[in-house]
Amino acid sequence: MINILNLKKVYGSAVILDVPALTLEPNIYYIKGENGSGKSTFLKILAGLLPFEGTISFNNEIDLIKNPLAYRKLVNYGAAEPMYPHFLMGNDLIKFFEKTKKAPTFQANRLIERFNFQEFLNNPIGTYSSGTLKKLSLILAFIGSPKLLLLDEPLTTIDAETVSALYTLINEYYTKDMVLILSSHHRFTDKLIINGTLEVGNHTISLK
Amino acid sequence: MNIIIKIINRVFVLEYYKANLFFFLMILSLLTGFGTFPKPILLHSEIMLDISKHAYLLMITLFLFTLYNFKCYHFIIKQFTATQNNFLMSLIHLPKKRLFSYLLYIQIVLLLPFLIYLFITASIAFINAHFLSGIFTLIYSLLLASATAFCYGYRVWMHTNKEYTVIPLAWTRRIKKAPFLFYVLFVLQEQEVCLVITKICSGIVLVGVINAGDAPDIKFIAFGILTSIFIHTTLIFRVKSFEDQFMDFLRILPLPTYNRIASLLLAYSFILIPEILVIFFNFIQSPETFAAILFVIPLALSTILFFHSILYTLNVDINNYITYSFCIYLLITLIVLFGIHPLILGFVFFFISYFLFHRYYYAYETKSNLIKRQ
Repeated sequence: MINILNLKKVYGSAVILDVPALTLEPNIYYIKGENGSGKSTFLKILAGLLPFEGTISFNNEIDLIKNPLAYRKLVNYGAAEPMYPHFLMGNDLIKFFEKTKKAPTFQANRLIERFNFQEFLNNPIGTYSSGTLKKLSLILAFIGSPKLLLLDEPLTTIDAETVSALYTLINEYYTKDMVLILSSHHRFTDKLIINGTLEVGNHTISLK
Repeated sequence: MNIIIKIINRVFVLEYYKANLFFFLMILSLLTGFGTFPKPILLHSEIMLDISKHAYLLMITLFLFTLYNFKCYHFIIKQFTATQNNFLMSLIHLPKKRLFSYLLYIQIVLLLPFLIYLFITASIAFINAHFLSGIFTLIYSLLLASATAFCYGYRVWMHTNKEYTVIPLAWTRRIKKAPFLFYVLFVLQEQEVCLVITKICSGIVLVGVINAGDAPDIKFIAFGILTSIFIHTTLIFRVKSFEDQFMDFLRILPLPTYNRIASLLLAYSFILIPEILVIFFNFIQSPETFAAILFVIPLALSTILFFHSILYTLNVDINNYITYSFCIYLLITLIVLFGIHPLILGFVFFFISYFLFHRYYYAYETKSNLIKRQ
């Protein structure tokens, strides 16, 4: 499904990640590692946000470098610390993502309801609390029909109710032909069935 | 000393003068570098007398004072809204008059070097019976300082209440926003001071071009518009920094390169509307200059796009960026003056910008990201 070959991420002379080969079959993966081990960097690379050396592709066909547009159609990403323009409204971004990701009808509305976001829709993002901002980033991450969903620290700053809604949503949203990678310093409850663990350490990633 | 004054002095006054030490040394050496004592004093008293005698000199002086005031305003707002200075927001709980007096104090201390010069100028005007000039100088400088202090109060209050927007919220909510409007709104909502200063300077250059004669040469119009674009470099740098910091979400979305570059082009076209209108309405009359407009406007748009695109290849701070941009500006101006047609140059810059954008948009990594990791 996701094929990673000779992935290397270097900052100056420091090697952050060096992954000779890794294949991720459709599953829900938990990515774990110490602070600064490169988890977020790996997720950002998979999302197409950071330059890297090597190859990342869907089924060895849709390459991130060679087919950036086709690849990005298949990937959604929720940042650990989302940042959006302060002066925009949450609704502006949701509408924009809906259009760009060609989301199914009413999908965004359902997500808004699920995360109890209605009252914040028409407020400027600059007025959001960190929890509300995280909710917005989760809504945006679920818009569309991705084959690779990356959620970096999805449990941070959100309340218990939203955590529960997120678990339910992941279980409903997850389909048999997609890869879902979650990173978190919090423990996931048994409500979420994690099928694989990606361990980040010694500048590489191994599948357990 | 009052504790609030102490804090104000440390957070605003000391920081301001420390940050601008080089600027003040340069101004001081310019003002006193005309010979040995008492020559500089005599020279300045003559200049001050001329300022009080001639209205146009007075206007230029007060215009420079206004620009300096903008510089102070920008610094103070930046300090007020910096995360480490969040505690200053508690000032909002002071009685309004007291808060205003503190804000006025900040403004007066920051304006002090210029105010002293203006007050001496006004005194010389009074001594030489130019009462109108003296009164105008005094009233203008005091009114500007007070109005700016009032603006600080308003901004601080709005920031605390999280409602501050240049464009009313009700309007912003109604606008259906395409990506190019994200950039435009950023400039209008968060870079209003930079925008005003840029437009004033750009306007001065264009006024010079307009008044150069009945039908100025196309090269001269191109030179004017290129200078005007170069004046926008600070704004371009800030737009790019905004893109790096807050528009990361655009990089994840499946948008083709032409779509992204079109958004930027539209945003800059919007920002350049005043310049385009000034050129358009002043040169539409004669057929030769009207043709010049058609050639020069694409050059302006492609040059501003080029100045933005090079930031994907250069990981530089604003000082280096302005230096690079200045060299590029000189080079483009020389090319135009040596006879390459502005329209051809416009197309060349557009294609270079497209190439840089296409090649480096995803290969680029922000400097802060690299530093954080290293």
